[in-house]
Amino acid sequence: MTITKPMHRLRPTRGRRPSAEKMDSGPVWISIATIAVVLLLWEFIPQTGLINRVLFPTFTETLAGFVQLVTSGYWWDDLGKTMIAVAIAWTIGVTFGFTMGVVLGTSPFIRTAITPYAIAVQALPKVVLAPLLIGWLGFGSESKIALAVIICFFPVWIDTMVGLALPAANEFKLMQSLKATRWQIFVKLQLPSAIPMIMVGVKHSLLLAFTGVLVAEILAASDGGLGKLAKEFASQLNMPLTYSVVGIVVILAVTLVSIADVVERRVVFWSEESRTRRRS
Amino acid sequence: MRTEAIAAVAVASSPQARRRRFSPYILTVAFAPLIYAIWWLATSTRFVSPILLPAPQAVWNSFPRVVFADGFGEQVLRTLSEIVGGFLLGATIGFALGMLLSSSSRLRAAYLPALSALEAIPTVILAPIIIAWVGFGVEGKIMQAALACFYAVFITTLSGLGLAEPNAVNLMRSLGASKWQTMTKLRIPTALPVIFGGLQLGATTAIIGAIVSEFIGSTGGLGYLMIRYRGSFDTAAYWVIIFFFLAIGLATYLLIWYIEKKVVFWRRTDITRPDLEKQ
Repeated sequence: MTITKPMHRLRPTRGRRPSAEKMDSGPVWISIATIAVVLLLWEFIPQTGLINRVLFPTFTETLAGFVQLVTSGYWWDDLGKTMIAVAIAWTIGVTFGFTMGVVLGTSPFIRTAITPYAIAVQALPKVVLAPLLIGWLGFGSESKIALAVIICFFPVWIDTMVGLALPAANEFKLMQSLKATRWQIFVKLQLPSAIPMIMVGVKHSLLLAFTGVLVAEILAASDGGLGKLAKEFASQLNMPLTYSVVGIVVILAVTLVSIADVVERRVVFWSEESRTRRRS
Repeated sequence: MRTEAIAAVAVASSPQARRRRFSPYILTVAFAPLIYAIWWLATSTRFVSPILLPAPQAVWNSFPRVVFADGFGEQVLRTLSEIVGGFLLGATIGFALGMLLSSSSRLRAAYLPALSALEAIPTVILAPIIIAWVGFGVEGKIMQAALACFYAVFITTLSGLGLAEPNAVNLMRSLGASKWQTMTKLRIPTALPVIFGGLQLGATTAIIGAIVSEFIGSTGGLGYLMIRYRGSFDTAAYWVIIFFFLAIGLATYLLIWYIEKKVVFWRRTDITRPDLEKQ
C-alpha cells in the first residue's frame, strides 16, 4: 500500500537540492539582482505613465503607505482581531478534526464505510457556506470563527484517519499476539505512527483557518480585521495601503508556517521525514 | 492527494477488516437515510436555524424554481468558464515554471526560497486588489482561480521531475539522448503521477478561488446568484446551488481521475510519496 503525501506540503526532495560543496555564490547574486530589478521596475514604470499610477503606485509610495499603516493606531486592533479569530478557530478545528479522526479512524470497518462521504466533503468547496454563516451569526467574530473551523477541520480529520491506518498488518498482528488491548494498540502503535501525518494536517489547517477568517472578513466584517482593511483600502483605491496590508498578511503567513515547521520538527523528532530534513 | 489517500486507506485490508462477513459499504448506504433523518429532525424541531439550513423537502422543492429560472444556464456557464479558464491558466504557468526551475540548479537555488514562501500566502487577500485592477468581470475571477491553483501544480511538477532514477538518467545520456529527449521520454513520464496529484488539488483550489471572488464582487455567476438568494432570505434556493457546487467538485475530481487513468495507464498506484520512495 502506498500512502500518499498530501501535495500541499510537498517540498522538493532532497536529491534535487544542490549539495553544500556544489553551492556557489551565483544563485545569491541572481536573487539579489532579481530583487533589485523588480524594485527598480516597480519604482520607475509607474512614473513613465505607461500604467495607471493610482492602481500601481511606485515602490517608495507603497513604502510610505506601509509606514503610515504601522504607525497608525487603528491597525493593531485589526491585526489582533484577525489573529485571535485564527487562533480560536484553529484550536477548535484541530480538536474537532482530531476527535473525528480518532472516532471514525480506529475501526477500519467504519473508515471504509464513510470514505465516500469523506470524498464528498472534500469535493465541496466549503467557502460556499460563508454568506450563510454571516447571515446567521452576524458580522462579528463568531461568523469568522465558524467559517474558519468548517474549512480547517477537514485536513486534520483526514490526516488523523490516514495516519491511524499507517501501521502494517504485521505490526497489528504482533501487538495482538502479545495480548495488547485495543487501547494499548492505539496509544503505543497507531498514535506514534500517526502523529507525523497529523502534524501535516495541523499545519495545513493553520493556513486554512487564516484563509477562512480572511474570507469572512473580506465578505462582511464590521467587526474589523486585516481582510476588512484590505477591502476598504482597495475600495477607496488607496493602493499603497492595500498593498501594505497584503504584505503584512504575507509576512504573517510565512512566519506562522515557519514557526509551525520548527514546532513540527521538535514534536515528531522520530519521524523519518523530520530526520532527513534535519540532516539536509 | 488527500482523496486518494482516503481511498487507499479504505481499501487497505487490515487484519480486522478481513474477518468481516459483510461489506462495509452496506453501512455507507445506511448512512444516507440517517443523514437525511438528522437533517429533517434538526430542521423540523428548529434546532438549526432555518436561516442556515432549511428542511430537506424545501430544498428539493426549490430545485425546479432555481434551475428553470431565467438565465440560470448562463450563470452556470459563466462560473464553469471561470473555473476552467483559471485552472488552465494557473496549471500552465505552474507547469512551465516547474519545468524551468527543474532545468537548472542555479535557478532553483536563487528562486526556490521565494517561490516556496508562496505556499503560505492565503490568495484570497489578493481578491480586493484584483477587483480594483480589473473590476467585477470574468477576467478577475479567472485571475483569482489561477492564483489559487498555481502553486500546487508548480511544486508537484518540480518535485516530480526530480524523481527520475539517476541510473535511468545516466542510461539515457550514455545512449546519446538530448536533454529534450530525457525530459519528454523519462522525466515527464516519471513525474506525471505526482503532477496529477497537483492538478487534483489545484482544481479544488481553483473552484474555491472562483467562488470567493464571485462572492466578493461580481455581476454574474453562481456565487452572484447565491448572494442574491441570501439577500432575499431564500435559503432553500441557496442550498440548491450548494448542491450544484458539490456536483461541480465531484465531477472535476472524477474527470481528472479519469484523464489520469488514461494518460498514466502504466501505473496503477495513484500517487506515491516521492520522499519515501527515495529512501
